[in-house]
Amino acid sequence: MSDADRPAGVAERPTPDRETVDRPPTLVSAAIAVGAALLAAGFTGAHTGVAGQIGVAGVALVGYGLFAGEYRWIDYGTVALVCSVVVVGAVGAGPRVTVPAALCAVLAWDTGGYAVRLGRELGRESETARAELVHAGLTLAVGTTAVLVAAGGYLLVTGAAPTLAVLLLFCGALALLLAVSERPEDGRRRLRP
Amino acid sequence: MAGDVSTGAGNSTGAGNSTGASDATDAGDSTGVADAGPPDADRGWPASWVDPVAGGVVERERTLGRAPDGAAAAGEGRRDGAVVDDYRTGHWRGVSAVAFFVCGFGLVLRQPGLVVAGVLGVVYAGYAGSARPPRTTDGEGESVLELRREVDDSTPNPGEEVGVRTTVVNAGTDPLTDVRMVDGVPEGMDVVEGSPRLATALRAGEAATVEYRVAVPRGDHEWGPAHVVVADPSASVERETTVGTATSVRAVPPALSTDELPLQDLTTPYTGRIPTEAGGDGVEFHATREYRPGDPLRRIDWYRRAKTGELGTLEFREERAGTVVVLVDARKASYLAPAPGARHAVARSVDAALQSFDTLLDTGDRAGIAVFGRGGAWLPPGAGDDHHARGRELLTTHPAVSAVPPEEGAYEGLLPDRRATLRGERIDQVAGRLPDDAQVIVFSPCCDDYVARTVRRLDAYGHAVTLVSPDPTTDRGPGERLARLERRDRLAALRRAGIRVLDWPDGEAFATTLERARARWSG
Repeated sequence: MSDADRPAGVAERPTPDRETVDRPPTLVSAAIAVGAALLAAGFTGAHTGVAGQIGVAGVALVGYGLFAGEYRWIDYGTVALVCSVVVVGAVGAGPRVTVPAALCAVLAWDTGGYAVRLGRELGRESETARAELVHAGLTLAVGTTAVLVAAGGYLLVTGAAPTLAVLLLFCGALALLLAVSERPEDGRRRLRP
Repeated sequence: MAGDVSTGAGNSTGAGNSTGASDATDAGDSTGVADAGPPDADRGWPASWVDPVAGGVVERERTLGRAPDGAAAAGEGRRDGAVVDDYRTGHWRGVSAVAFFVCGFGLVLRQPGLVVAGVLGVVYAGYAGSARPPRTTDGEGESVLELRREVDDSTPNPGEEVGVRTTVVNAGTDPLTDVRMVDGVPEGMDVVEGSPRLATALRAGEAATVEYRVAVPRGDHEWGPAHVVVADPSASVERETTVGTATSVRAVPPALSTDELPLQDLTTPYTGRIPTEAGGDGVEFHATREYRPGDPLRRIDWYRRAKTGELGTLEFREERAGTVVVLVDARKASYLAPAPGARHAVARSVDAALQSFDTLLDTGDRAGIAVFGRGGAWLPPGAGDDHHARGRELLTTHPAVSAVPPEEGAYEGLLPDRRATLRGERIDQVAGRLPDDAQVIVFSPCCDDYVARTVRRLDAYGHAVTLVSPDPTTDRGPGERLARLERRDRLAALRRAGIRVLDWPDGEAFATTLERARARWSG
């Protein structure tokens, strides 16, 4: 499938496959993704310089992924953004830095992937703005709610026993994770109707 | 750029089929439903989502998208809103792993900031993991989505642009946060403005509209059901379905204005419009003769009676009707166009034939239709409204005059001898069906010898033959120039043999060419 497999000298014929892959991502989601990635890099960069540099690399990768219309590079960029969050967290930044940064990183990943998806399915010239805005808004709303609940609980408990609170949170997270993890039913990830 | 397919440029259908075949194997084993059959070649609708604009196949990466179409060939049977496929998109895949990593890291380092950030990831994993496909049917199995489609003009002229408004309505009680729709634009139609695709969110009772313009080629066209994908708010589960509404347009070339079609002198005994050498009833003065008992009183030459006292009778030039068979050459070898994407000779031939057929019937002549290619078609000469409708139907929608060239020639794959015999028999078959007094108007680009042979044979059988030849040749390269010279030579030879030949240049209206020829032939 890759270009390298093609024997030298064979003329490149545009196939429908290439045509669809070449369809660029939709603009609204792409803009939101880049903006969110920049914000994430900004949050971490404001705290620690190194994290900011990793974050900027993440922004660049997300941007390239959106330019090329490939999920892969958006994934890499998000990993870089998460790394920058981990770095600031590791050097002691509190939830006030890590949580907004993580939220922005997730938003960048989600809207970036959505932009590529809609671009491939419908193309850039179609009217897609409303679906994109609703999608990004819902993602943001879910994240904000989660942050508010988590931060509230955290602040309530921190006063007394911070270590216990952290442990509780972690156990809760693990339990939730196990509860919702996807069970591949037939290796094809199909849903039962 | 009317969207007709020129030789060798069958981009959309051909390419779509080839990829469709590979997709079918991929999708087939995942579903176990008998949808992986060979794509219906006639409809050119492969087993995957064909985009009506780009003509490409929309790739369902990370999903198991089963083609919405499988059944699109038999699409009428499926109910609106019925689930074609549900699938996970994998949109949030990996978020739980990252959440776990961040949480664990935070725990090891005893950093609450990281743990809380990890919890955020877990919440998103829950958001995606708990997603269920939105319902597209209500309790009674009625579709939640409804489609309305309006077409500006349902009977445009061929090649004309028509505006289409397609509205999708959420008639259910729940909001749909992610509705993606691709309208089922008919095959062979080009979207020239706007886009038939849409992604939107619809509250209960809300509607969204796409507007686009299509160039309509000749023939009957029917919109297929719109392909709709509804996704849950997190976009991690999608449900694919179709929603249809009957919409069709019919593009038929307009008739030439009456009397424009010059016919030769071979006529029927019926009164019509072709002036003959015979005297009788009519308008134009022809001769006078001796009075015979029974001659009508109003045709008595009263001047002569006054001058000489003898009775004489005026004779007028009789006008009679002709029987004309319109023969369209739609063999594979005639699907020739001056450039890829330009109108090919068969499309021009068929349009002109249709105009001629209309005109002939309007002027009281009897007209029939014969087609060469793809098994052929035959409508015996006749008159009347029923006949008119049948003829129009044939030339508009019969598969033998399709705007898309056949996959292979009628006698391809046979031994040369056998082919020659069959081709000869085909001419005799048409000749045998023609009434003795029928004139023939042949529409052919005349880029091989077969039609020239046909024309000579028909001429030899005593039919008056007119050859209308749409010119598909160019002078862009030496090969093209040679083909052009050969064609001219062929036409000149036919003219020398006394056959009327109308060379119809590309880009000129048929009526214009006809007018020029009429001036020449009337002399």
